[in-house]
Amino acid sequence: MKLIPHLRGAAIGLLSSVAALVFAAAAAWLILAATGASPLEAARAMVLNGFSDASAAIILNSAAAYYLSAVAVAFTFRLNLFNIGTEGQYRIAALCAAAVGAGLSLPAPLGQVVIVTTAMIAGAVWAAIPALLKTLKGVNEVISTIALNFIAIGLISYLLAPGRLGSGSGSNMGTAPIADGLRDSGIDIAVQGAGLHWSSLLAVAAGIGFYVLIERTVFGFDLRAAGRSVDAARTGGVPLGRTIVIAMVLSGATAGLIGMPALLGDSGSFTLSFPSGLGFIGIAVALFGGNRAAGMAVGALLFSFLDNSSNVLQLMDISNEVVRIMEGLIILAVVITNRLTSRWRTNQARPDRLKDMSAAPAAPAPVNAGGDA
Amino acid sequence: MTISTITAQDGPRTQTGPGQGNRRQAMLTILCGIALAVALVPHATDLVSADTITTALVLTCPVALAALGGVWAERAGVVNIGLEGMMILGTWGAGFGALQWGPAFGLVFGMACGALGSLVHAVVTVTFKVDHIVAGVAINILAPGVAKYLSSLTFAAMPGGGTTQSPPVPSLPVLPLPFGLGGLSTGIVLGLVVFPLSWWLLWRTPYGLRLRFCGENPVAATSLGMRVTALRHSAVISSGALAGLGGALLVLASSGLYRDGQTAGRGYMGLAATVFGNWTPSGAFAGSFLYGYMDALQLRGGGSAVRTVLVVAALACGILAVLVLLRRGGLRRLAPPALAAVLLTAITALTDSVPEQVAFVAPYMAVLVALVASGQRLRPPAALGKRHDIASS
Repeated sequence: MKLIPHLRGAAIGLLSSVAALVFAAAAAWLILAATGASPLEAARAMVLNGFSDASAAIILNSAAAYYLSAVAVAFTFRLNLFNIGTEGQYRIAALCAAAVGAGLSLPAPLGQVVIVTTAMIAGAVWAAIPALLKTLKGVNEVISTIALNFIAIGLISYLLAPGRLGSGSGSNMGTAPIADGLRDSGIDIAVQGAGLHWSSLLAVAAGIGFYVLIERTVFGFDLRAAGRSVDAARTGGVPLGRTIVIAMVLSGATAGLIGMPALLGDSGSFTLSFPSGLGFIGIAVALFGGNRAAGMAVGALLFSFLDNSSNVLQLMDISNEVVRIMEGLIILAVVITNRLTSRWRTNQARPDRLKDMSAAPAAPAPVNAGGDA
Repeated sequence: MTISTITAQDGPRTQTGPGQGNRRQAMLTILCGIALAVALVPHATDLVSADTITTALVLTCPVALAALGGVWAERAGVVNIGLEGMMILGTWGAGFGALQWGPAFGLVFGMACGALGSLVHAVVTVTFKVDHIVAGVAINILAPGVAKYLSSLTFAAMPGGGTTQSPPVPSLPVLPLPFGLGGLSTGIVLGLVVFPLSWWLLWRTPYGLRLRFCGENPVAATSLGMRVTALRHSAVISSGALAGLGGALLVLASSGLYRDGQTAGRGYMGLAATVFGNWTPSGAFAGSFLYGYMDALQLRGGGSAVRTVLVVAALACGILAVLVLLRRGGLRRLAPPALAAVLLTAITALTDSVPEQVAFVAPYMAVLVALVASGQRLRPPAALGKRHDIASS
């Protein structure tokens, strides 16, 4: 009997996400129509391109990177701690992993383990800086992580200069390539051109790890409790400082994995043209998925699909920024509908005599019943 | 109450008394250090040359206006991470407005575009009561897309323009300065005037008192009959207009054209200045000047100028350490300045110029160091970031 309200809740959650998507699509439709392009043609081209064999593997690979990035920020978002520094963390981590990998001559599985572990440690160390600044000095994490993103840019270009870790010049300036034996050979699925990377499976592992750690352990309970109410968590004996540091370190370690599919699968070395911006996309994906393991998976696939299939729009003389606008609108619509449904749920959970009191102030109510919602 | 506000509650709340004295002493020390260093260190006169100062002002103004926008929104209790996005909208608006109707309209149109962005933020956070940081992040994703899309529609067809860049825009008239200081764009002067004006509005009028009340205790404000929703809307919209003005000045007073990615995180740095400026207009300006000054130094003087700053910082830390020693402060108080002095001296002794990539980082390092130094003396508005929701409170 208890299942029915749960099912109804899930259905409403799903419905609100769909409503948000429809709203964003309608807005994009209007924008396209207003600028004289044909929305129907554009949508058709995007869908056809997205589901073609060649782009399916590309979309899955980049969805893996988006998902890792989303999981990384979700570790801290669930604690109500806004780590904007994933961008710097994964780039520093990828550089360190590439530099270590270039000097390795280990057999295949061991070498990759060393490279991936290096990336995780480097990401964790870079993320520990804002965590310690916050717990020891009270520095706002939003601002310190943003500043550290810029500092990471400077540090990377310093380290990449010839004679330090890098060689070459211009945008080719980068680390020496990783030995072929340690590269990601790709999973042979029935697609032409591009293949799915083994390292993309790291995303699956990270998702499972995230779910178990956050939803099924004492640490995860502490983290969620502190995210909801610091006062209640402190009263309940949650060690706040330690929770903050551990959450940030986990976030940084996961961020370290973001660059792995690109490093091991595609480029084989860290250059100045290494993919950037993956950290910021992760924030959008995490917000879309409500920081839940399953929701973020849907978000990663959706955003990866939108980003990769938007390139076809340029062939039609439409700026693919329309897709960016659509992504921003999706986020806004999702957070608003989430807020509205959670308010609705709270109202449903109230005793019957208090129900709808806030929604209908005109009804005769006790004098001190509170104002409008 | 969120994690973001933990340490503000944990740390000692010093408002007057010893905290104030410490701050004054620290300021005095830094000034003494700078004065001494300018006298002692070779090339240090470059640090305070008229050229450096006017460049620093031009670089400070956009950041400072974003910071002032932060003060407006956050004093009313709304966190505005979306400043960066609003600034980006301002750059496009200024470029388009200036090319269509002239530079003065560029300023106005840039402000209007920023205000439009903040209207979205206001509706989402104040009306729908969505988490402020989440909404701001969404704006920062949305705004660059909108600006790029609009620029590909408007500037691509113009001669000399492209999808990511506008043709050169007409510039604002330059105001000549006395004492051989050269000239300063009227836009910058206008930007500077906004600071005392904001201070007067927020601290010397009934409107400002009510607005700040909303940031301290919105429930009490409501029960006293103040229209919290309307006040917060007005604060957030002013905030976006100021950020838009900051973006407009980047176009009209600094680079002379709209370029994609021109703001380069200045909105975020403005937000940082809001915080370590302790949510006041003067503090926000001083914090932004720190960023703008370091930026001007690394742009004009490169690595060697940044090294000179490090020498000055080493001297200031040394003097502070000696002062602590004379006052018989404990090891806990002596260690940070002494360590910093030794470290900085070592760094500057080893090199005669800071590498160019490290010089690029100097403004951000300065912001971080300032945040660390000021961390626990700050007092944010009490209701900052909380949803004002009578039904759930």
